[in-house]
Amino acid sequence: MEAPARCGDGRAATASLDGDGPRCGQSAAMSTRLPARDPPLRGPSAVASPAVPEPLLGTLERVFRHGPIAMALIDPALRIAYANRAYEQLFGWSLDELRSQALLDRTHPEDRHVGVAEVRELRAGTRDFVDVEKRYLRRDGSTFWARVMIFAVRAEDGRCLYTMPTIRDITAERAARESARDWRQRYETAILASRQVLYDWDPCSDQTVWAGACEQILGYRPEEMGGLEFWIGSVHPEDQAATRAALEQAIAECGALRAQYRFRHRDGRWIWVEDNAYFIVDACGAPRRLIGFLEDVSARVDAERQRRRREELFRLAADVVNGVVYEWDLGTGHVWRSSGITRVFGYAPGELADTPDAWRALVHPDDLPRVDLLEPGASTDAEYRVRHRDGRWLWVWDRASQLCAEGGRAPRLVGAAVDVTEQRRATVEAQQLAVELEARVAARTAELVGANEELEAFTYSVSHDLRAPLRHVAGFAELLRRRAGESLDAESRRYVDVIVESSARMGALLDQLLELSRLNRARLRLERVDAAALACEIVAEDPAASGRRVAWRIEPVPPVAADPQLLRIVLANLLGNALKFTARREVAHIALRGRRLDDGCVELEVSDDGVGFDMQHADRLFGVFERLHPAGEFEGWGVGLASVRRIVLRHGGTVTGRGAPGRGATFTLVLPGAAECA
Amino acid sequence: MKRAVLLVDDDPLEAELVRAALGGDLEVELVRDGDAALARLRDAPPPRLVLLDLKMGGANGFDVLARVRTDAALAGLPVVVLSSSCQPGDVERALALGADAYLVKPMRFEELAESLGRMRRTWVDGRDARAARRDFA
Repeated sequence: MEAPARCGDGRAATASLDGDGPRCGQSAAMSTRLPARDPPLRGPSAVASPAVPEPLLGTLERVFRHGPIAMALIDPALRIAYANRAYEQLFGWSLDELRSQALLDRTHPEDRHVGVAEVRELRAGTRDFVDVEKRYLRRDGSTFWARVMIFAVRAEDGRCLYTMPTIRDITAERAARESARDWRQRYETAILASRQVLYDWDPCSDQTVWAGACEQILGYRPEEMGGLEFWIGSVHPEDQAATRAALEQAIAECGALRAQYRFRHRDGRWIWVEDNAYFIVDACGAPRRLIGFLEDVSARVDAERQRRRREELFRLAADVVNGVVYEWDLGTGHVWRSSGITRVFGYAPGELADTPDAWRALVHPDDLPRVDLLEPGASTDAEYRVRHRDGRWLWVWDRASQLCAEGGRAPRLVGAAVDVTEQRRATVEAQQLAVELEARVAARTAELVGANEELEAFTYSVSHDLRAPLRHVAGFAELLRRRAGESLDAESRRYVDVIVESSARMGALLDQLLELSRLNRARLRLERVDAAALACEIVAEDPAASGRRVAWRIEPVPPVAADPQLLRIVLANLLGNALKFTARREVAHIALRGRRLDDGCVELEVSDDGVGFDMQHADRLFGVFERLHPAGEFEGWGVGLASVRRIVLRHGGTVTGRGAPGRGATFTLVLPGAAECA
Repeated sequence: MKRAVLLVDDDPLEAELVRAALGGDLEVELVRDGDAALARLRDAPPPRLVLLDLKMGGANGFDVLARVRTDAALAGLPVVVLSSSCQPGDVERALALGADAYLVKPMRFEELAESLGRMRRTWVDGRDARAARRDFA
């Protein structure tokens, strides 16, 4: 459009533009002034200005009209007085069309308030210019973002004649700005999320910008952290030299910095960090900025240290074991062996190939089948012979365990072949010794059995054969008494009486011995026996019980597996003893009770409240011819409890007695329960 | 002479005691071993009672018992074993072979006299036979 610029009222305006328009952030005052006395702008031809020569005025108008920036002159009634071509093109309306429209119609409805107050101030002269961003609507209905700078065109007296917006489409710029802001946000979030500290160090100014997880990792807020001095001062003294060297090298090469060091946390702890940085160089290649990340690697360093320690331990253990520790990689077929191969087996390092076959070749041919069982997946334990470097055969105990494939590693067979030659020798010797011992024990047992049988036979024959002469002594003494009885004086008669009585007494002792011997030889006929019923029978038949006041308490007891004849002897002895040793009680209390034990045996207990006995003589209770009481006090031969013990032992049971003087005695039998006899 | 008892025992002192216990009025014929006993039983009229020891040289008491019980001529001859052995095996064996009674030589002379007195009444004097059989069975 070539139409000359005109003011809304038709007067030509003169504009004095000094300098560039205001730039972003600058507040340089600028005003466009027109002489107040000028007539309204009517067109180039009608424009006359004393300040601007006529030809120049036309040029200014052309500049305005054809300039690249959309501009317009708005009159106080908020109508377009004039707009340039760029303005027309920006909105898609011709100047005439624009003039007929309300100004705000072209503003995006949501942004119509934007800048209104500022423009008011501009008009009032309290503001030099307005700088806002807002959206406009084009003729085709599309929207664009614009940066709008509005100046005032004033008369000489300062009155605002026009406002002059300059409008620049910043849609693309704004999108880029938003995108940049998004990226920045993402980036900062990512740094925080990665738990890393970001730094940006300018070597020239020693200014460092810290960001990221400073507080989480190092305990400092970014603004508390300084430049190089702070950084180096925070590095562990032991790590400073290496860190400094790494930095100097990075500077020299203008390259990357990679370092791992301890950084002092604000609270004094040391944090292992990994520092990864890179120099940004300027056009001349000089390092301008070092940008890097610090990462907390304490956990990783600890794990690594522990791993190394475990490896060290493993190596130590492998070195002290009396054998060779090996690892057979089933993927590659390689075998690693510990130093024991040298120490224990005499092969120099490297002398054996790192294959399973190299070991197999050392194995005693007879033992190969056992070694083959150690193949992966089969048995994990074998004992076999291996040739020492010097030709000796060593026995080894080889125990292996297969490790599954993991983390990309092939399955492995890890084991140890331990030298057990000495142990084996000892074991073999011990076994031989055991065999010898067993043989010796068997021989000794046989001797004992023989001796026992001999003793039994001896006992029998002694007691039997002694009877005849004894009977003769007794018999002839009796005959003597009959024949010479009348003629003997009293003293002589007493002598003969003593001979008769003593031989009779000796005969009775022999009878007891014979009886005891018989108990040992009698065959056991095990039956299910009710000991309580047996005890009742015995009590009923015992003549010693008659004429005595006895409170019997015979309780039901579990059945036992016993020979009824022999058990009768046992109970008769125990009950007889109880009766005998309670003779001085006005009312004697004698009890039999029993119970089944956990192991199936039955415990029988015969107790009385008689004279009892002193426990310090308890070991003599069951001896043959042992008596705990004076012979005159209680009758008896001292064989009863010996018989009891013999019989109980023959049943595989036990018998014990306990008592106290004047407080009765209790005898406890343990016999097999009846369930055990078929 | 009273009716005879044949005493078979290799111990003369034992024989003397038995003789005394049986009473002086009874004829007691003594032989010292089994062979002599068998010969006596074969050659002379049988006695009223045989008192037989078991353990002797030559033919012992068991042999004598066995021969007597298979000899029809001696059927019904009372034979009482008089032994110092109280072993159940000996007792059972003797009774199984046909002994009429088994008497363990007692330690006391009075007991011997009493036991032998009962035997005399049963088999020699012929009295109280049923009661004696009951006693010795």
